[in-house]
Amino acid sequence: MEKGVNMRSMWPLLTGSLLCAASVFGAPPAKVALEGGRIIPVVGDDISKGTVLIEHGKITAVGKHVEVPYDAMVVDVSGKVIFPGMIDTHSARGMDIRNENLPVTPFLDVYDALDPSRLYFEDALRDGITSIHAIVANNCVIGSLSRVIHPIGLTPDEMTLQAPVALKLSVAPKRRSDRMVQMATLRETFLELADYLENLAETKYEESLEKEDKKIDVGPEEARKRGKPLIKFEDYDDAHRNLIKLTRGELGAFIYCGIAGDVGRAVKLAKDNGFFGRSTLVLGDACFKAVSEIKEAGRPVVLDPDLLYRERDPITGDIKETFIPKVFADAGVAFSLLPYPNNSLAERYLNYQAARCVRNGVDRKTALESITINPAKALGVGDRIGSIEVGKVANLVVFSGDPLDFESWVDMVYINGIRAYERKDDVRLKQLFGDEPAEVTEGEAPEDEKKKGAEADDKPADDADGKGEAPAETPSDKANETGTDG
Amino acid sequence: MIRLSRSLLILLSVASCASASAQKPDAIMAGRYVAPDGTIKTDTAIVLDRGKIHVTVARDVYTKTDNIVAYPNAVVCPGLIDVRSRIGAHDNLTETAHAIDPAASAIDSLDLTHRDFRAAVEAGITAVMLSPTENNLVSGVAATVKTARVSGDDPVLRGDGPLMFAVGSTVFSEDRAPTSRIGSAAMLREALDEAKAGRGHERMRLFSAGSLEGLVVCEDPMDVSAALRTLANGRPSIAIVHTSDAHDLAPELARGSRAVVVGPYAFGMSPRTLSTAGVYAAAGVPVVFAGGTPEASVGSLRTTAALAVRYGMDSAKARRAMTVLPATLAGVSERVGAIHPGLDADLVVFSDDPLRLDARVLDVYIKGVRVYHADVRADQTTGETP
Amino acid sequence: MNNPHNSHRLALRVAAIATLFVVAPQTSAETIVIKSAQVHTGTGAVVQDGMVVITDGSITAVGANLSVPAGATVIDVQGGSVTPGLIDANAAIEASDLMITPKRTASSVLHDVFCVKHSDKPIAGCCGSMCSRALQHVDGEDCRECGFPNTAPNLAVGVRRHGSLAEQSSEVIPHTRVIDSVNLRSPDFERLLSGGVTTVFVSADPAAVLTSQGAIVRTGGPMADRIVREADAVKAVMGSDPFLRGPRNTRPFRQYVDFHARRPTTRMGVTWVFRKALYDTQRHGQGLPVGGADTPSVPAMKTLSKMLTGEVPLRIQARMQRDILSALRLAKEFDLRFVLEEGTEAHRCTDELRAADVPVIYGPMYITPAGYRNSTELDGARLHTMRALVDAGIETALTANDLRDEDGLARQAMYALRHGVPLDAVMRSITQTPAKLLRVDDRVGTLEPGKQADVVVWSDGPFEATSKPLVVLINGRIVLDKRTG
Repeated sequence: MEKGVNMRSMWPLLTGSLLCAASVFGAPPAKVALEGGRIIPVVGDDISKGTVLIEHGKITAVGKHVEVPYDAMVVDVSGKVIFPGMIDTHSARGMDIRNENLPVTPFLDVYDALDPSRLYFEDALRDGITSIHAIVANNCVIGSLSRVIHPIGLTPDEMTLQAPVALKLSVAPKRRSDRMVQMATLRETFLELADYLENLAETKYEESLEKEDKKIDVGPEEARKRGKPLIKFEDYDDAHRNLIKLTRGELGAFIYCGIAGDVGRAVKLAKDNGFFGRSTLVLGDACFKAVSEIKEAGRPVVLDPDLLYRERDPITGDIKETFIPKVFADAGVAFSLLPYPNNSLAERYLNYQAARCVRNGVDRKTALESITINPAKALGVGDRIGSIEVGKVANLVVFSGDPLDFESWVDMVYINGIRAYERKDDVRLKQLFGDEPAEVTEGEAPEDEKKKGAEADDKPADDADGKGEAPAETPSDKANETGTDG
Repeated sequence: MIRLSRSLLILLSVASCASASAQKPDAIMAGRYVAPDGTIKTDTAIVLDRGKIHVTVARDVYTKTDNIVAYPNAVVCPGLIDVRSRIGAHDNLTETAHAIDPAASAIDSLDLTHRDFRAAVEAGITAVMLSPTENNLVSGVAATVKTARVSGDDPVLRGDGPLMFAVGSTVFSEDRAPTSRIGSAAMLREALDEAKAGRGHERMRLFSAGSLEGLVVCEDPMDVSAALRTLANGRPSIAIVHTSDAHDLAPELARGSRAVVVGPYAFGMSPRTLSTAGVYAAAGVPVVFAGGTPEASVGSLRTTAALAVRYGMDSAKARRAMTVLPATLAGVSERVGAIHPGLDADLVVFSDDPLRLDARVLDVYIKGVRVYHADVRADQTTGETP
Repeated sequence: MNNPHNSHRLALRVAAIATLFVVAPQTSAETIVIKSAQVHTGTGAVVQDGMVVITDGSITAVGANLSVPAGATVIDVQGGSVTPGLIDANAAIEASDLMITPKRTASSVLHDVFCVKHSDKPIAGCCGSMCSRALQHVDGEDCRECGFPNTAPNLAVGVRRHGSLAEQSSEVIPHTRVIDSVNLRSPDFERLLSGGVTTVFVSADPAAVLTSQGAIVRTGGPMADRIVREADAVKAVMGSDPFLRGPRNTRPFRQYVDFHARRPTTRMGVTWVFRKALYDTQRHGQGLPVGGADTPSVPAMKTLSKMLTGEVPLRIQARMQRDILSALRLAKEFDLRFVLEEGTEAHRCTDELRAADVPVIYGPMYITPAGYRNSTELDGARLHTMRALVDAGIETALTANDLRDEDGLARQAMYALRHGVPLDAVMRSITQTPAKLLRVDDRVGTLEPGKQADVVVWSDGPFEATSKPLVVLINGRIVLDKRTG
C-alpha cells in the first residue's frame, strides 16, 4: 500500500480531509441520540435495540427506553452495534521519533513530538480506536511524560484528553546496553534525586539566612532538615521535577519489562521509590512466565501485541506455543491488549485481538474489557472513558455487527460526541475496493479540493514523512513499538 | 600375486617359529571376547592358522600350551573399522570438476605410509574406509584398507566400492551446476536414467543394475528422504550417512537402506541427537559408527559408541556397529570384522569392554601378527601378561 | 588387486549384505462419526445439525438424521462446524537450500548480507528467515525460536524468501522438482495443520522463467504417506521475479557474475526465454537442430514437450495486468491451457481471463492491499479482487502462499469474507476448487461419500475470528486434537 504511487500522492489530500473532520463538525450538534442499535456497554449487560444519548460531548443516558430531547440529532443505528471507543494503551506511533537517544530523559514530554498529521491517527479512527496513550517506546531508561489523546484535532492541545499521565521507565536494557547498566542507571537516577533534594534544602536554608544577613549557624544535616519545608515546587529544576512528582505518587509510571525476570526488578524499583501504587507494567511477550509474581503485585498490565509465544525446546526441538492472554485470564489478572503495529495484518484491529482471545479460550467479557475499560483504568481515566456509562466522555464506535466478528466494519466513530469517522465517506477505503476516483485535473478541481491540494503542496515535509513512514509501518515498527529489541 | 603372498607367508611362518611366541601366537586365550553377535563371551581359545582365525573353542578344550598368549581378564575384540576416514589421503580427495564423477577412486590418493595410520592402530582401529570428499553428486568409489601392514598380507581390502553419493548442500556450493537442491536432484535423476538406459560410466551402470552398492552422504533429514526416493529405487542397495536427530526417519531407513552411518558423536551434542543411533537400531536399521579420522581424533569411534549406548542403544549392537557392520558396509566382511573362522586375525585386546571409555588398548594383531604392544607399566593395573 | 573385473562377485557381495525388513501395514477398521451444528460440504452446501460418518479412512455418509453405527467413535463439538480439510494450491513451504561457499557459516553470511549490508541499520526480517519471529530478528540478539543468527541449521531452512529454491545454472528448469527441497519435518506443516490445512501444493520459487515442478503433499499423518504427488505442474513466471529474485544475482553475490549472469533483465527477455524454450522443444521433437545461448537442456525439453501435449499441466505466475495479458498471449501462441497464480491485478482483466477460461489461484491477501511483501508488482493490489473474480464467474482458489501464522488459509478466507465474498464462494475457493485445480478432487476437497476423510472440526463457524480448528482428520486418522485445552 505504501508503495502505491497513486495512493501516496493522494495521502496528504486525504489526510487533510480527515483532519478537517474536526473542523467540519466544528460546531457539532449539542445533542445526539444513537437509536436502535445493540449496545455493548462493557460495564453492565448488553442492551438490544437501545439508545445512547449524547449531550455536549458526554453520555447522558443509556438504555432501552430513553427519552430523546426534541432538539437532539437522531442517528438510526438499528442493526448495528454501539461499542465503547477502543483504547490503544501504549503507542509511540503518533510521534516522529519513538525514543530519545539519551537514556534518562524525564524532562521530556510527548507533547513536543506529537504530529497530528500522521496517517496513524487516520488509521486509528478507521480501526475504531478513540483514545491513544501517546508514550515513548521501550528503548529508554527513563522516557518522557505521556498523555492520553484523541486521534482528531489539528494540534496536540486539541487532541489531548488527559495530560500528563505517566512517566515511562524501562527495566529491560536500552539498545546496546545491558541489564546491569540499565538497573544501575535507574538506581543512580533516584539516588541522585535524593542527593539533589538534600542539596536543594541546604541551599534553600542558606538563602533564607542570607536574606536575613545571617551566617550559617548549624551543621549541614540540620540545615537540610530546616531547609526542606522551605522548598516550593517551582524551585525544582526541569531535570528533576517529573521524577519528584513520580516519587510523590502524583504521576503514573509505565514500566517496561522485557523478560520474566524484569518483573521482579520493576516491582522492587517502584516500591523502593514510592511509585508502586501508580505503576502499570508493560510486558514483553516472555513475561507471562512471571504470572504469579504479576498477580501478587496486583498492578495493571499491558500485554505485548504478539499474543502467541513460541518457544523451541532445545532438547526435543519441538515448538511450544503459549497463548499469552489465556495465561493471564486463567490467573485472574486484568490485562490490556495492544494492536499489532503492522498495518497489513488483522492484528492491527483491537477487536480482532480480542477475538483471538476468545478463540483461544478467554471468555468474551474479559476479552472485551481488555480493549476498553482495562486500558482506561490503567491510564487512570477509567472514570472518563472505556465504557458506555452515563457521565462518561462520548467516545463510541458503531460497528456493522458484533465487534468480535471479523466481517464487522467500523461504520461510525464518535469522539467527544463528534462524529469523527464514517465509513461511507472514507475515500481511501473506497479506493482500496477499486473505487478509483476520477482523475482530478487542476482546472476542474472543486474549490475546496484544490485548496487542500495546495495545502499539501505547501508542506513537503508531509510527503517526506509519508515516505519515511513506509518502512516504519513495516517490520521494524513492531520491534520499536514493543521494545522487544530492548 | 596370491601365490606369491602364500609363499611369503610360509617363509615368514617358518621364520617366526624362532621368534617370541607373543609376536605371532598360535592361539589367543581370551578371558573375554567380542563374539560376532556383539555380545561378550568368556573363556575361549581363539586358534589362529596362517594369520587367519582357524576356530574358536572353549578354553579348556584347547590343550596346547606352547606359543599361546593368554589374556585372562582382557577383552579380545575384532579390529575396529572406521568407515568415514581420510587418513593418509585427506588432502587429495577433493575433486570438483564435475558434479557427477564416478570414475574417481580413493585408492589412487592413498599413502599407506602416512603416520596417521600408526595412531589409528594404537586406538584399536585396524581398517578404514577412505572415500572421496562428498562435494559431488557422485564422487567416485571408496577404498577400504588395513591400517598396518604385515608381510604376506594385502593391506587393501577393497578398492572399488562402494560408490559415493552426496545430496546435501556441499554439492551445490561450488561455482558450477547444480546450484540448488532441486537442481542436484534433477541432475542425479538424469544420470541414473542414463545409466538405466545403458549409457554413461560403467560404475553408474553397475550401481543402477544393483551390482555396486552406494553410500549416500546426507545432511538434512529431507536429504535422506530424497536419497531414498531417488537412489534406493525400491531395493536397499544404498547406505545412508546421516547424523541428525530425525527419529521419525527410522521406519523409512529400515525399509529403504541397508545401513545407516552415524557419528562421530561428541560430548555436548544434544541428547536427542545422541539417542538417534539407539532409535534407529531398535527399529531394525543396521547402524554403523563413523569416527571421522583424522579430522576427529582416533578415539572418536569408541566415544561415539559409548555415547550411543549411554543414550539408549543396545550394547551388543553398538559393538557390532564398530566391527561386523562396518565391514559389511564396506563389503569386506568376508575378510575382516569378526572373530569368526576364516577371517583375518585382525584383533585388538582391550583391558575391558571397548564400550567403556576407560578401557585401554593392550595389543593389536594384524593377520595374527602383533603390531602394537602397550607399555608394560600400563598393564600393571590389570595384571595381564602380554 | 581388487579390479572391478568381476561384477558377479560384487553382486554376491551385495546380496550377502542386503537385509530385508518387512513392516506390517497398519489397518484401522474403525468408524468415526462427527456431529456438528453445521456441516459445510465444500460444494457450497451446508447441512444443519449434520453428521459425517467415516469408515476405514473414507467418508461413507454425510447428512442430517443419520443413525450412529454401533461401536463408532463420536466426535461431537457443541456449536461447532465441520468443513473439508482445507487445500492451499500455491503454498510456499519452508524449503532449504543454502547457496553459499562452505567456508563461511550460514549465519555469518546471511546475517551480513541481508541484515547489515543492505541497510545502515539492521532491518528486522530481512535476514530471509522463515522463522515466525523473523520480523523481530535484530542484530546481536538470538532469536528465541529459531536461534538466529547462531544456529545455522534452522537458518538454512530459512532462505526461501530470497529465492533459495532457484537453480541458477539455467533459466529453463522444468525438469527439477520442488519436492527435493521440501522438508516434510518442517514445523510449517504443523502450523498449517493447526490452521485446518490438510493438503498443499508446494509451489516453485519464481526465480526462473520456466521453473520447477511443484509437489502435492499432506500436512499430517505418517511420514511415508505424506507425498501425494511428487511432481505436478510446471510453473512459468511472468514479470520481474525472474530477473529480480535469486540470491546470487542480487547485490551481495555479484562477484559470481560470470557464472550467474544468465538472466533476462526485462519483461521482454522473460517472454523471449519462454518462447525460445518452447520453440526449441518443438524443433527438438521434430529432430531439427537446436542451439544458441539459451537452449534448454535435454531433460528440460523432455518435460516441456510433455507440457506442450498437455500431459504436464502449466501454471503461470503473473501479478500485474500486463503480465497476465502476456501469459494469455503466450498461452494462445502455443495453444496451452494454464492456471494463473497470484493474479494480483486480476480484477483489471476479468473479461480476458473469463474469455480464455483461465482459473486463478489468488492470494495472499492482507488488510492493506500489498501487505508487507517485498515486490514492486503489488501497487495495483486491491481488496476487491477476489470478489471481482467470483462475480465474473472465474474459477478462483484462494491461497495463503507464505503466510502460515496461526491460521494462514482460514485467515485468508476470513479476509475474503470481510471484503465481501459470499461464504459459499469462499468455502469452495479453499476446498473444492483447489482440489479440482490440483486434480485431486477424486479424493479430497469435499465431504461426500467415497472421498478420503480429510475433515476439520471447528470450535465455531468456520473462518470466524473467534473460531479455530479443534480436530483435524487426514485419511480418517485424527492428526490434531485440541479438544482438551
